[in-house]
Amino acid sequence: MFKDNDQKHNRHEAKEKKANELVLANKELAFQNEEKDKRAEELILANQEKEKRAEELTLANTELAFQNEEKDRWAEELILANQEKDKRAEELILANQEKDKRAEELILANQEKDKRAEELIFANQEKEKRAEELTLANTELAFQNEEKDRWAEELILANQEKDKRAEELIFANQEKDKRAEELIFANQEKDKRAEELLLANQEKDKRAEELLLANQEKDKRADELTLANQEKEKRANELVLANTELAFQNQEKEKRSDELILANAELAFQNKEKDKRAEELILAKEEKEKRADELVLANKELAFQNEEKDKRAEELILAKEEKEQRADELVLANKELAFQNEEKDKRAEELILAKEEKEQRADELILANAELAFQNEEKDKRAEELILAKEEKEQRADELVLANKELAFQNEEKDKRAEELILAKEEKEQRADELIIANAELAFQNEEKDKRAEELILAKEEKEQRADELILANAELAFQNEEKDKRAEELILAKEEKEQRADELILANAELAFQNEEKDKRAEELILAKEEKEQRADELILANAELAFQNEEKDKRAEELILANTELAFQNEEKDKRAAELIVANQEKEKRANELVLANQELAFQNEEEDKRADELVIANEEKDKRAEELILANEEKEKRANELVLVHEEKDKWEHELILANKELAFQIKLDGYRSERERVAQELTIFMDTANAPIFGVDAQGNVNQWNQKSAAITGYQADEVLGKNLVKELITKDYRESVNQVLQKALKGVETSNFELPLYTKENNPVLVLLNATTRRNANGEAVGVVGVGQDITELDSYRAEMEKKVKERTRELDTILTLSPDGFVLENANNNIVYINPALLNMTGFTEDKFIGKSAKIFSDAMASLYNSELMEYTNIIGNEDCEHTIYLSRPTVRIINCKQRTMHGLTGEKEGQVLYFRDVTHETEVDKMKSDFLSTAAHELRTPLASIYGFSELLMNRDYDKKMSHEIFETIHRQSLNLKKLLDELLDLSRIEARAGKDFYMDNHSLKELVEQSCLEAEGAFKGRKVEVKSTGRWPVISCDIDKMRQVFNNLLSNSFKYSPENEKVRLKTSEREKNGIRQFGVSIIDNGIGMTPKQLSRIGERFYRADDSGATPGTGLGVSLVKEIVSIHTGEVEFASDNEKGMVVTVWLPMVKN
Amino acid sequence: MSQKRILIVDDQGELRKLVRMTLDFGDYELHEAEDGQRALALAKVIQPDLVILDVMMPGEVDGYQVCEQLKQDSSVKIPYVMLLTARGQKSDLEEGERVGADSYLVKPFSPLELIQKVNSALT
Repeated sequence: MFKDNDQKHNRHEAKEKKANELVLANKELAFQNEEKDKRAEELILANQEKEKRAEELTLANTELAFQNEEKDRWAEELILANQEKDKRAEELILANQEKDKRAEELILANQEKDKRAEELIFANQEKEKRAEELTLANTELAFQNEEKDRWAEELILANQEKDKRAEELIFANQEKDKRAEELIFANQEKDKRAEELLLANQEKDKRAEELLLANQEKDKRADELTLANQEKEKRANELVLANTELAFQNQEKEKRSDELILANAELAFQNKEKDKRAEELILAKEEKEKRADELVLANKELAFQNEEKDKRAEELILAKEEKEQRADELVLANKELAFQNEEKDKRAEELILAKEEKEQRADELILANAELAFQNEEKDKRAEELILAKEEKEQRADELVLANKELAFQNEEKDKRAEELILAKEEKEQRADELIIANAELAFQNEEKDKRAEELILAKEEKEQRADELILANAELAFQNEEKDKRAEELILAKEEKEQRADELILANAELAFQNEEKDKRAEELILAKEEKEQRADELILANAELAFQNEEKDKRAEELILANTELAFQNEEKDKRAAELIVANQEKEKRANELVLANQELAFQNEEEDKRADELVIANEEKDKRAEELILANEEKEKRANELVLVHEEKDKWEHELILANKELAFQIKLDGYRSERERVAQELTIFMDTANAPIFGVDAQGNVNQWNQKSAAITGYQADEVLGKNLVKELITKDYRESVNQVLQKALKGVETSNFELPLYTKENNPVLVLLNATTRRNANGEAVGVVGVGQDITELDSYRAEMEKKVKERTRELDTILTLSPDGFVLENANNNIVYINPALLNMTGFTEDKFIGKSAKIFSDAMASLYNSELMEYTNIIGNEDCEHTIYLSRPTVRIINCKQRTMHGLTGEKEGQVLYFRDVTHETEVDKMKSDFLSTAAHELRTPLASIYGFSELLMNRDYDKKMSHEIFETIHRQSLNLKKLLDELLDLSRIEARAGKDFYMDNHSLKELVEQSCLEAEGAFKGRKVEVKSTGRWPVISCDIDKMRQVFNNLLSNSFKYSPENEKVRLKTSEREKNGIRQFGVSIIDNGIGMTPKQLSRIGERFYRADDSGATPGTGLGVSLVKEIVSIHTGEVEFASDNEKGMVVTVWLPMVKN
Repeated sequence: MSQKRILIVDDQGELRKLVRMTLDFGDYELHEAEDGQRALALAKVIQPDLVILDVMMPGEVDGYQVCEQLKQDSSVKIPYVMLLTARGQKSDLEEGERVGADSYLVKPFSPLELIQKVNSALT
C-alpha cells in the first residue's frame, strides 16, 4: 500500500513538473508574442518615419510652388513695367501728335519742315509696332507663367502620389504582416501545401513574366534616358543658336539705334539750318521778325523736345531691347526649367515606380520563396538558375546603360535571352505539370504522413533548413536589389552631371547677359532663381536618394520581417510541437492513469481472489492435516504388517537356498555324464576327419618322431603311414638344406610358438621335391603341456609354378607400364597405401625440375609441398593437391617455367575394396589455354572490327532517315555509308579466305608449275594500275625460277604486299623489287624483295606483324583491314616458303618472300 | 546558361563525325579527341559535362583507363561517362562498372538512342 502511495506521489510530482513546464512554455510564448508586438510597433514607427519624410517632401514641394509664385510675381512686375513703358510710349505718341500739329503748323509756315515731320510720324509708327510686339511677348510670358503654375501643380500632384505610394507601402507592410500570419496558418495546414505548391509554381511563371516585363521596362527607360540626353543636347544646341541669334539681333538693334541717332543728329542739323534760314528770313523779312522770334523760341523748344524725344527713344529702344532679351531668356529659361522639371519628375516617378516594382517583386519573391521552402530540391536548383539568369540580365542591363552605343546590339541579345526565358518558362511549365503529378502523389503521401507525425516533424525541420537556405538566397537577391538601387543612384548622379552641364550652359548664357550692362542685375536674379531651382533639384535628388535609402531600409526591414516571420513560424511550430508533445504527454498520462486504475482494479480483484484462495487453502490444509493424521495411522499399521512379513520371508529364503544347492548338484552330475560321452564321440570324429582330410596332416612327438600321418600325407609323399610312423621327421623326410629351419619351427612349436604358412620342402618316396605350405600347431596334453607338434599343410607345388609365371608376367607388365609412363608427356606420381611416394615418371620430373630420389619413399605431403613451392602465387594460393578423396585441380606454375597444369588424383582399390594407393596425374594444358585465349581474342577483335564499319552504316543511315540534310551533305553521308559497306565486305572476304586457308591447309590449292617472273610482273602491272602514276622498279639478278604454286593465291600474295608498300610510302616514291637466292636447310630458295621508302616499322611493330587485325597505322588514316599480311604469311607458308620483314631505322620496309625452287 | 560540353573520344574519325552530327543541334558544345591521352589532356582544359568514350582504342590508354582517371582526377570536374563499346559482353560491362562509367552504348548504336541518352544524362 505504501509503495502504491509512493508511486502515486511520484506520478503526481511528475505531472506537476510537466504542468510547470507547460506554464513556462506558455510564459515563453507570451514573451515571444510580446516580442512580436514590439516588432510590430517598430514597424509602425518605421512607417510613421516614412510618413514624416513624405510630409517633408510635401513641404519641399510647397516651397517649390512658393518659389514659382515668386517667379510669377516677377513676371507680373515685368508686365507692369512694360505697361508703364507702354503708357510712356502712348504719351510720347500723344506728344508727337502735338508736335505733328505744331509741325503741320510749321509746314503751313514752312513747307520744308513737313517732310521731316512725316518721317518722324513714320518713325513713331515703327515704335508702335515694336510696342505691340512687346505686348505680344508679354502675353506669351504670361502664358508661360501659367504653364509653370500648371507644372508646379503637377509637381504637387506627383508629391501627393508619392504620399499615396508611401501609404500604399505602409499598406503593403501591413499586408506583409498579414501574409506572415497566413504563412503561419499555412504551416499549420499541412494538407493544403500541395495546392499551395501549385499556386507557387503559377506565381513563379508570373514572376518570370514580370521579370521579362521589368527587363523590357528597363530597356524602355534606357531608351528614354538616351532620348532625354539627345533632347538635352538639342536644347543646348538650340540655346547656343538662340544666343547667337540674340547676339545678332542685339547687333541689329544697335545698328538701328545708331541710325536713329544719326537721323536725330541730321534732324538737329536740319533744325539748325532752319534756324539759320529763319535768321536769314528775319534778316530778309523784317515784318516777320516777331513771328520769327516766336518761331525761334518754338523751334528751340521743339529742338529741346526732339532732343528729349531722342533720349527717350534711345531709352525706349534700350528698354525694349532689354525687355526682349529678358523675355527671350525667361522664355528659354522657363522652358528649360519646365522641361527639366518634367524630366526630373518623370525620372523620379520612373525611379519610384521601378523601386516599387522591385520591392513588390522582392516581396512577392520572398513570400513565394517562403512558400517555396516546402518545395523540393529541384525547385531550389531552378530558383538558383533564375537568380543566375537574373544576375546575368542585370549585368547586361548595366552594360546597356554604360554603353549606349552598344544598346541596340545588347537589346537583340536581351530578346534572345527573353526567348530563352520563354523556353525556360515552357520547361518550367512542363516541370510544373510534372510537379502537379508529383504533388498529387504528395497529397497521397501526406495522408500517410499524418499517421507518421514524428517523421513529418523531422521532414519539416529539414524543410526549414531549406527555407533558411532560400532566405539566404533572398538575402542575396535583396543585395542585388541594393545593387540596382545603387545603380539608380549612379543614374541620378549622371543626371546631376548633366544638370551641371546645363548649369555651365546657363553660366555661358549669363556671360552673354554680362555683355549687356543693363541686363546684369536681372540676369543675376535669374541666375539666383535658377540656382534656387537647382538647389531645389538637388534637394529633389537628395530626396530621391533618401527615398532610395528608405527603400533600402524598407528592404532591410522586409528582410528582418521575413526573418522574424520565419522565426515566428519556427517558434509557432515549436509551440505546436510542444503543445502536441504536451497533448501526447497528457494523453500518455491519461493512459497511464487509466492503466493504473485498471491495474488497481485488477490488483484489487486479484487480492480478492487471493483471499478467496487463501481461505480455500486454509480449508484444504485443514483437510490435508486430517488426511496426514489418517496416513500416519495407516503407515503405523503398514509397518507392523511389514515386520511380520520380514519374518515370514527370512524363513522362506532359508528353504529356497537349501533347494537350490540340491538342484545344482543334480545338474552337475547329469552334465558330467553328457560331457564324457560327447568327448569320446568328438575324439572319434576328429581321428576320422584328420585321417581323411584333403590336406596333409602329420604329427611329431617331443622328440621329433612322426606319430601321425594321414592319408593325404601318404598320397603326396608316397610314404605310407606305417613307413614313417616312429621315424624322425627332420632326419628322414626333409632335404638337408631345410632341416635346420624346419627343426627350428618344430622346436618353436614345442615351446608354444606356432608358425603359419611355412613353406616346407619334402621329398617323395621317388625323391621328387614337394612344396608344402605348413602350419605348425602345438599339441598339448590334458594338463596343457606341449607334447608334440601337429603340422597341417597344403600342397602348393602347382601354385608355386603358377606364381613364378605370374611374377614373370608382372615383370613384363611393369616394364610395359614403365615404358609408357616414361614416354608419357603427362606426369604420373604413385603413392602406396601408406601415402608414401613410390614412383614419379620422367615427364613430371621434367615438368617440375625435381629429382626422383628426393621423394621416393617419402610422404606424399612432402611432394605436395614441393609442388606448392612452384606455384605462381599471384594466380593461386597454397593448395594440397593430394586429398583423401579423388579430386581435380588446375595449378599455375611459375617455376621452372610458366605452366598451367591440370592435376587429377585417383585412388586405387584392391579386390576387396581396400585402398591400395593413389595415382596423381599431371597434364600440361599451357598451350591449350593459350590457344583458347587467342581464339577468344581473335573473335572479339573480329567482332570489334566488324562492328566499326557497321556502326557508321547503321548510324548515318538512321540520321538520313530522321533528319533533313542538304544535297551536298546527303551525298557525303551516302559516300560514307558506301565506303564503310565496301570496307565491311572486304573484311568479311579476307576473314573467310584466311579461315578457309587455315582450315584446308592448302588442300584446295591448285598447285602447278608457273613462271614466277610472269606472275610477279602481272602483279606489278595490277598494282601500278590501282595506284595511278606510281611505278615498281624491278631489279632482278639471276634467273627467275619456275615454282609450284596456286597461281591465284600467289598473285594475292604479291598484290597485297605491293599494295601495302604503295599505301605506306610517299606518293612520289617508287617501290623497288629485287630478287635473290639462298640455301636454307638444304633447300634452294628464291627470294623476291619488295622495298619501299615509306613509314617503316619500329622493332616492336615488326614483332607484331602478321597478327590478325594488327595495323601499324591504327589511326584509320590508311584504309585496310589488318588481315592482308596474315593472309600473305598463311599462303606462303602453305607453299613451304617463308616471309621476312625488315625495317631499317623506321625508314621504309623490306619484305622478302622466299619460295622453294623446283628442281629441274 | 552556358552550353553543356561533350567530349567525343574515338580513334575512328568517321565515328566521331557520326556522333558529332548526331548531337550537333545547338544544345551542346562538342569537342573531339582521337585517343585516350589526348582525351585526358583536353578534359583538363574544357572540363566536359559528358564524355562519350570508345573502349577499344590504340595507344597507351584505353577507354576504361581514361574513364577511371577522369573519375579520379581532382583537376577535372567529374563528368558523366558513356562508354561506347563494340563488345556488349558481361565482363566488359562489369569492367565499365568497376571504372565508374555511368552508362554504355553498344556499337552499332542508334543515333536517336544516343540523343535520348545524352539528353537524359545532361538534364
